[in-house]
Amino acid sequence: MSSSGWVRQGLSIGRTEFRRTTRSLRGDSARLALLGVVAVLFGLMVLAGTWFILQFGDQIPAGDVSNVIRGSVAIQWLFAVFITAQRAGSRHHSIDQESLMLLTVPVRAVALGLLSAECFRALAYFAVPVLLLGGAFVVASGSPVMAPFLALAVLLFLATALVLGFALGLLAKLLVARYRVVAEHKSAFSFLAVIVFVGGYVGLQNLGGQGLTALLGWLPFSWIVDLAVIGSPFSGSLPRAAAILVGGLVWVLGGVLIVERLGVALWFGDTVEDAVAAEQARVDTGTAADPLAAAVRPIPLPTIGQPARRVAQRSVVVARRNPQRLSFLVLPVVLGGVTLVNIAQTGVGSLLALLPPLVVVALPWLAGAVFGLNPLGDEGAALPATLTSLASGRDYAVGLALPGLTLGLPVVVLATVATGLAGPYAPLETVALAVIAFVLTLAAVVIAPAVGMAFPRYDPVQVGSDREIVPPSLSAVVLYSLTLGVPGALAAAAILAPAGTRRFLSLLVGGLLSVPFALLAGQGFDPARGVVRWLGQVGAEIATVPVSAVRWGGYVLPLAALCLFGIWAFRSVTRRFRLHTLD
Amino acid sequence: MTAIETTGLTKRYGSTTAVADLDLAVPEGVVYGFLGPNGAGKTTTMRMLTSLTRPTSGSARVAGVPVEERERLIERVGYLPEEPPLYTELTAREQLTYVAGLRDLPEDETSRRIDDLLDRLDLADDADRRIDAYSKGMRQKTAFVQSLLHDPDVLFLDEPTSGLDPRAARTIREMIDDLANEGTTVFLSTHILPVVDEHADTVGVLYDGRLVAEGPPGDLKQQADAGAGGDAGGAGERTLEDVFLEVTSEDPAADEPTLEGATDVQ
Repeated sequence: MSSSGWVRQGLSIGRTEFRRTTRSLRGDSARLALLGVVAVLFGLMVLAGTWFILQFGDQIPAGDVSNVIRGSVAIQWLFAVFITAQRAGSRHHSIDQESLMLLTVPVRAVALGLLSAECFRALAYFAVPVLLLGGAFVVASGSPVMAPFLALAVLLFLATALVLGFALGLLAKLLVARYRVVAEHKSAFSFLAVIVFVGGYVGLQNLGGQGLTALLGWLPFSWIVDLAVIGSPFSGSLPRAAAILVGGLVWVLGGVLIVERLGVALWFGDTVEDAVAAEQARVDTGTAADPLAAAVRPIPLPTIGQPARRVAQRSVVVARRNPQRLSFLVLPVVLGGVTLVNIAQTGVGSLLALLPPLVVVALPWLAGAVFGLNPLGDEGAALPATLTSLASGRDYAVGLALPGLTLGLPVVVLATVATGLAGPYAPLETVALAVIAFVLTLAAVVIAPAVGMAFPRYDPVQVGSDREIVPPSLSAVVLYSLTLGVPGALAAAAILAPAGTRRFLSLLVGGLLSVPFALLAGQGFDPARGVVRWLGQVGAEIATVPVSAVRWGGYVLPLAALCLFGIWAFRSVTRRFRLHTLD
Repeated sequence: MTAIETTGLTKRYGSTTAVADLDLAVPEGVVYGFLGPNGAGKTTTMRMLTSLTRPTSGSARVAGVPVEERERLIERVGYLPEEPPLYTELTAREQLTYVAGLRDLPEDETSRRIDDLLDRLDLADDADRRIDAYSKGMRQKTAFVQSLLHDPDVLFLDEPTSGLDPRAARTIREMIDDLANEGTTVFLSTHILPVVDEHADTVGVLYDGRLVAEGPPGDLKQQADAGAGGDAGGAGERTLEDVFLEVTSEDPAADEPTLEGATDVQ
């Protein structure tokens, strides 16, 4: 095989893999929607940055590239290495249709294919922002000579990080394949690696100070910045730029060869993973008289009729043995936590004051979402068996609700009382919050399956290289969150801050809601003028409602509505299960 | 008494007709071999007969129960779909305990029955391993046990021997015969024609949503013999495969109703 042969084949594989990625993304509306939200937020930041550079870029004083700047680039380079290693170790350590590819093209072409596919994916995300920001700088600083060097530096940054990350990912996978102790504890090792790196990264970013960052500036990879600034008002080190250009190219070529060697060892070698998986698949509680009841212990599910009990036991065992099914919960929980800290930092209230109302809404939300937000999709291949075995939709609804109630209710109420007492709230307010938590949990465990069955999702997504999960549909997550969150937040706000709630509702109705009608009226649509007037009057009337009425009305009415909605949801689950078909 | 009875059973998906005007009358205690090429409508028919898919028109009763009445129907039928309907996170014993529990079967008695069936299918040693570590054959055997745990009157089997080694396939075939001898009606869909030839009392061939031939395997082969005349593989040597290929041929010449003798369904 000529040298150009494997390069051509490898790039062709990379293009095909990249095309497969984009096609699977096009067919996944939930991921597309999430990506759209991130793209809008990130895109706005990039556009703002571009505008800022165009406006003020010429005022940036020229100077030397310092080691602190180099070190900052090195940190981002290390981050790129980590992300690639993580992706290569978990998802992209081998090519799909491995036997076909390995029997058709040289291993080196497969290695280059995997690397180039990852490179194309990275470029798909970052090419436009880099072009905009870099282009803006070239224009603003009037240094067109810089453009090719900047592009070269960006490509070198990506390629050098990718080959190292990929080699590390394959090495990790090889250790798992060869060493029993690593295979047995691979989840723990991988968790540890994430903690160590993310801890180090966050620590370096926030606590390291300029000294440590400057120290990283001695790493050769940071010299990419010297290459990037050639032809710009900044002066870097030309010897460093030349060294990283030559060294980087050698590094990339050498990296491809190392990835090839690791690939040969991994793809053609023996693995202990199958034997370890077979051992770990044996369940100790299997020989018990009632194996499902034994598998659920120590969770104390109440004694109820057998069909509903079995549904509840199955939900718990499946969630416990395949926690990746719950990975869709991570993002909302992290976002909730970050939002809480951000709000606390703005001075709206202390963390202790904000925590109880958040707990009151978030924990019941979790109690419902963990077991019931996509019941039909969670059934997977077993759905025909469930439908042709369980006669009662009521038993299905009870069985789905039971784990969330048994596990969630005590935790939710205790957490609410504990945070309420630790916060600046009176005992009566804490009791009121506990009642909200109680009602919300009862409602959540029936509303989640009702919404999940109305908006089910059946398409699995790949988690790691060998497992698929079916997360809930985005519609179900959003609708469930609104159904539970709006009344819950309103009740908590009304009891804790009735005057503020009144002001908020008054502004919401009289101000925010009337904005679109005011715009319509401005366009000459006369009926909208009447709506604006009416909304303004309603808003003004809300502002005059006595605080005590807001407090108790705002507290009782949302909870009563949730109770009614919960009853409807329970009936809906019962009916939908009874009538569900595989059409 | 008739175990499965359909009249003008039809299923349409938009402009596509999956099953058209299907009339079936399967007596109790027989093995009914249900044949047809891929996409002929076999799975759709089985789903309609087990209440998992709603017919567009026509009617069907299984074990005397209309297929619209799922709550009553599921006590009388068992169904093994082509993809084993199992939770891969559970062990075989947990899975079977789960499904028996959904049916509210008596726990002790069912536990003994599960052990017997697992033992018979050579699964006892692996019954406490998670299904995600099972081979395709082991999953198939688990799902087969699951479909007959409640001793159904009518058992629908979609490719029951798919992925099984010869020994396990033989065991399942013997169990199918035993079930039929005990009075269970087995509605057996498979592409393995020798299995149908050996075990089915009656064969129905579905093609493009329509039943194009029906009758005992011997009668169908005899009709094919008569139709073939002095052609190669002539009298006395025709197999069920020949019959199948003939009635499901795209060739207009072969569309002539050559097998109308057994039960004329053309």
